[in-house]
Parts: sequence; structure tokens; C-alpha cells
Amino acid sequence: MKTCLHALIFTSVIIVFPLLMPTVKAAGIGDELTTQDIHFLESFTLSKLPPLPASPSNLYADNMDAARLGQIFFFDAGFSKNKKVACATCHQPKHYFTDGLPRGFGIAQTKRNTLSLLSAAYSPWQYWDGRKDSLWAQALEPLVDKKEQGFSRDQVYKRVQKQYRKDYEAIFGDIGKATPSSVTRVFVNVGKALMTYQRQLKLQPARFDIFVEALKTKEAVSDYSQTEFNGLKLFMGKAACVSCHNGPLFTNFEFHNVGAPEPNKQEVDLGRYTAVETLRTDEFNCLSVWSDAKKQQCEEIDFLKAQAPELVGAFKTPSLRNVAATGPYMQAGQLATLEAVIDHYNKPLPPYYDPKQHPNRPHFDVLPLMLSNVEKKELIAFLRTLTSAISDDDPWWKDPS
Amino acid sequence: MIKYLFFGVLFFASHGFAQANTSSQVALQSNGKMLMASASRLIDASEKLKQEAKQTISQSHQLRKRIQKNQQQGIPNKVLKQRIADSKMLQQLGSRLRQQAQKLSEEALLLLRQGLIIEQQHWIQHTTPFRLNMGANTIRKSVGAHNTVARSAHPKMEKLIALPTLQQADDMSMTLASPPPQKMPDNIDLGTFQLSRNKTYFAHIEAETEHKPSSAHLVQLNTMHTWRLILTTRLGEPVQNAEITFNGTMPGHVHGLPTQPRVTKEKAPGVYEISGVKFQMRGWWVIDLTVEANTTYSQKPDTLRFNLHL
Repeated sequence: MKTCLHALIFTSVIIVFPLLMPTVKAAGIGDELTTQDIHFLESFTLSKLPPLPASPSNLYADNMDAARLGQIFFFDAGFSKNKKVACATCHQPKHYFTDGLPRGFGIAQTKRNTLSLLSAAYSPWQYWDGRKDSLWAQALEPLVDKKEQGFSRDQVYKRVQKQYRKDYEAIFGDIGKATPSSVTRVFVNVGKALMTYQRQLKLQPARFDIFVEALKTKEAVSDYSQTEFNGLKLFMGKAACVSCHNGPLFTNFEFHNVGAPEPNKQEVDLGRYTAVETLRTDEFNCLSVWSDAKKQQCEEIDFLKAQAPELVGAFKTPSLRNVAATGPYMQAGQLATLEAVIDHYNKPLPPYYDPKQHPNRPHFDVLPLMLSNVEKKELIAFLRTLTSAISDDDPWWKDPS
Repeated sequence: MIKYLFFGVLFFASHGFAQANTSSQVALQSNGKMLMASASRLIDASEKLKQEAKQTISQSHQLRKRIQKNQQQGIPNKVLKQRIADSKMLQQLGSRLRQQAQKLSEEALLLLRQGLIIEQQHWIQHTTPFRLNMGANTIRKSVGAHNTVARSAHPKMEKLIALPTLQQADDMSMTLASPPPQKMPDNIDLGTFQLSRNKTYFAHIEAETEHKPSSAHLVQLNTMHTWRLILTTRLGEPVQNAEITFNGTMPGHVHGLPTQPRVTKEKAPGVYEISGVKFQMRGWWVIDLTVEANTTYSQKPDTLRFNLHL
């Protein structure tokens, strides 16, 4: 199915694209833009990506030895019940650290679509519903989730002790005897190493970034087409995508209900509404004993909004970096193609509402766009310019073994 | 009866003004609490005038009803004319009283503000409305977080949902999406000094800025920051150990702040630190602070409302 989908996208690129490709010379694209326009567009480029956010809850967040060990853990299927599932099973470098499936599949199928890791280090919240407040806390869940890696904390401890003891102790100190507290400490440190590794994953400039750079310097050459440029203007204007997808990673990292089709009407997904409770009571949140942060460094969870009607059925705005190569889309992969996504936004239906299951009528965040068929195609053409090259020569993108 | 009322009105109006004038004159020499005490008397006067206005207008309504009956009963024209004139006069009187009351209350607010600034000069750094810091990396003239105008509704309601608006800056060729405009009233008070709804408390809010006191009153979008609340009774007495709840909403956008701010410290009597404030969107914000406290002035909860335009 995955191959089919990719073939389909690929064919549509080959067939549709040349038809849409205008005859205007690329050098003239964007000539009408003012300095302010270019300044505005620049705020979306990777050159404006700030340094990685500080991570007070993980003391090892910038420790390169921890990053290297984390990389080994990331690709090690030995951390799973059936010895077949690693983090990299669902987060595959060749798919921009996603899996190309509607929903993640480790030992069994999960409830949600696999998110790319390439912008994760910048997000204050992890997962679609933001139920974890750090990448290390997030990394712990799949290890012991029955549908993902299906391991236990004890098994994680044993594997580290048997396989990685020397490297582990060089970074984190004595592994300790297998007491419950040592076992959990090792488990937590595996998460911290995995986080540190993920902080090393960098994006290469996409065609969009190169285009804006060319506009800025007036020297660099860009092959941006009129169709793509029209799509860019729609993205920022009429289509209003920019309302949520803004900044260099094309996301505001906030939670919204966009009325994506309810994947399971018998058991509705309340998204952020449920996640805030999980977050508050999470054994591994920023305020927990396993976090290295001081209380005042845990502002996001300390001032967490725990109750509001707009949390019902809301999910995190995903980054649009590499969006054309990371379908299917939405929290449960309900929409297979970018075309389906744009169609949804063009004529959104209000979110499914079942008074028996929803605490209140979901807050609805999307307005119809009234885009023409040509405009829809232009918008998709623009979205395709957000795809970076697969970083084949970047050692962090590879299995180190 | 009408004449009696008229004099009463004049008495209150002139009484109030006399006080206001004197208060303004002594502003520089007196201490803050004296100013606030004068202001408090003005508030009482203003409230009384408002009451009178209400009564006068209601009398005018009653008289008009009587006139309607009289017309059916065939009362002599002369009497009827007099009554119509009386009713009109009462109506005008009522609206004049209301204006006077409004003037007095505005004067009182100015005095309260002046008084609090003198009283709490150590803590008050900013007296101007909040503004958004449009740093180089902030998206100019553009977009906030989303396009909310309505909660989900029946599919038939789709027609009622407006399109996102577009705007174009003078120095840009691109049109940018912006959130649906909010209908913020033109004459809205964006001041950071406000009297509570039931006139119990007077308070000031400001963002704690890192810069020197002279720097502008700026807040950054999508950045958690801290506010300072200075809370006194309307007589200028600091309100201590108050229970304060913070609620921020965007009218017309059906959503609030992305965080739940709360009081984290009382730094000095009546000086509170409110942490966890974060704005994710430009536009009109309404901040309601519900205050419960045990003061000699009042024990009832009261609400302070601040309007911000970011």
C-alpha cells in the first residue's frame, strides 16, 4: 500500500507537473516582491531556525557521547520483545523519520500516525496530543508499549547492563544493582540518550529555502516555478495555512481541532483534552524526580492549561517540512494524500460531535478556503518545495552498527 | 416635585465638581492615599447621581404612560401639553445626570490612578498600555495562531462561517492571511489601571520587563512572562492575601490563553507576581481577575477587567 501510494505521488509529479509548469523564466519569479516581502518570507527559512532550545530536564542533552550512544539505541531492535522493533522501525531515515503508514506499526498497529522527528527537538510537547513534555520522556513510552517495542523496564536495564555497560557508565555513572530505582534510572537515561541523539538530526535547505535565499541575494539561482510561487502566495494569503504553520519549521506547536474525520466514532479521540491529565500525572514529566530541571524551569507544565473547551479533539500542528514525502496525514493517517488534505481544508466539515463522549462541543478551528482546482494544485506544488534532500552523507542519519 | 428633584440634581453635580477641582489642584502636594480617598468620595457622588438619573428617567417613563392614558380619557389640551413638557424635561434631566455621573467617575479614575502611582511608585514601572514587541523575528503585520470564529456546528451552519480576511501592508506586495477581525469597541479603555466592577478594588497590572524602568511596556508573542499586579481597595489600602483567579480570552475567537497563569508570590503587601502569562495571538484580549479578600472595605468577591490590544 505504501509503495502504491508513493508510486501514485511519483506518477502524479511526472504527469501533472510538466503540464502545470509555466513558460516564465525562473529568474523572473518573485521580481515584484518588496524588501519587506522577502524579509517576511525569510522568517520561514531554515536560516532563521534558532539554536536548539535548552533542555533543563535532561542534563545530557548536549553530551555528544550520549548522542552517539542514543544513536545506537535508536537503531537497536534488541530493545523489543520480538527483537524486531527499534525506534527506527517507525522512524525511518529514508522516510524523513516516519514510516509512510497511516498508523505506526511496531509489534502491532498503534492508534496514531508516526510523526517525523526532524523538528521534534524544537517542540515543547511531544506526540500528536502533546502528552509528553520532553523528548526523553516521550522516548520511554514506545519502549514499553505493548503495541510498539513491548519491552519492560527490567529488560531495558538488562540489555544496557549486558550490551552497553561500559559506554553507559562512562556517561551516566555506575549502573547500580537491579533495584527498582536503579532500573528506572537506567530506563530514564536510555530515554535521555535517545533525546540527545534526536537533537543531532538536522534538515538540509529545501527548494523553498534556496528560493528565498536567491530572492535575498539576487545572485543565487533558483529554479522555482510560477506555479510554486503562486502556491507560496496562497499559503501565506488566501489559503491561510500560515495561520498555524508558521516559522522556519512551519508550525506554531499549538493544539487545534481542524475537524479531521473521526477515526473511530465508537471511541472518539479527545486529543489534547485527555493529554493534559496524562501530562500532569506523568511519572516522567519536567516536575518529576527523574527530571534534572528545577521547578521554575518547568514553566510549560507548571502553567499548563488543564481545562478549556478548545482542548477537546485538538492535536498539535505538525511541521510541514518534508510534508509531501511524509504522508499519510492527520493524527490517525485518515487522509492519504496532500490532495485529500487540501480538499478537507477547502470544505471542512465541523468535527464529529457525540454528546455522550465529548465533554463539550469541539471548538472548530478551520474555515472554508474556496480554492479553485488550479489554486489547489498550486498550493500542493508549493508544499512539495518544502522537501529537503535525504541526508545520506550525514552520519546521524545512519544506523551506526 | 419635579422642581425639587431638579435642585437635588444640581446640588450633587456641583458638589462633585467642586471636590474634583480641589482634588486635582492638591494632587502634587498630597499623598496618594488622600487622592484616592477624594476619588472614593467622587465615586460615591457619581453613584448617587447615577441612581438619581435612573429614578428621573423612570419617572419620565411613568409620566409618558400616564399621558397615553390621559389622551384616551380626553384630558384638556393644556394639562396634557404641560405633562408632555414635564416628561421631556425629566428625560433630559436624566440623561444630563447620567453624563455628570460619567464625568465624575472619569475624574475619580484619574485621581485613583494618580494616587496609586504616588502610593506604589516603588513597584510601578509602566503606566502605558501593553504593546507587542515586534522584534525582527516576529511575523510582521500577520497572522496569529489560527482562524477561529465558531465552534463546530451542524454542517448546515457552514454558510455562516466567514472567510479569513486578507490584509496588505503598505510596503509589501503580498497579501497575508490574518485572523478574522474582532469587533473591538472604538472607545475601549486599554488602561492598565482599573476599578473593579463593584467599585471595591483599584488595581494596576504590568508586564515585568527585564529592561530599565524607562523602557517600553512590551510583551513578546509566544513567550511565557510574568506580570505584576498592584491591588488596593479604592481607598488605596493594599489588599493582602487575596485569592486571585486569572482568566484571559479573545472575544470573537472563542478561545483563551494557551497557559493557565496564576499568582505565584505576594512580593509586598498588595503587590502580586502573576506567572505563566503567554499570548499566542495578536489582537484584542480581555483579562478578568476575580479577587476574593478579607478587607475592612469589603469581603465580597469582585472582578477587575483589563482590555489589551496587542
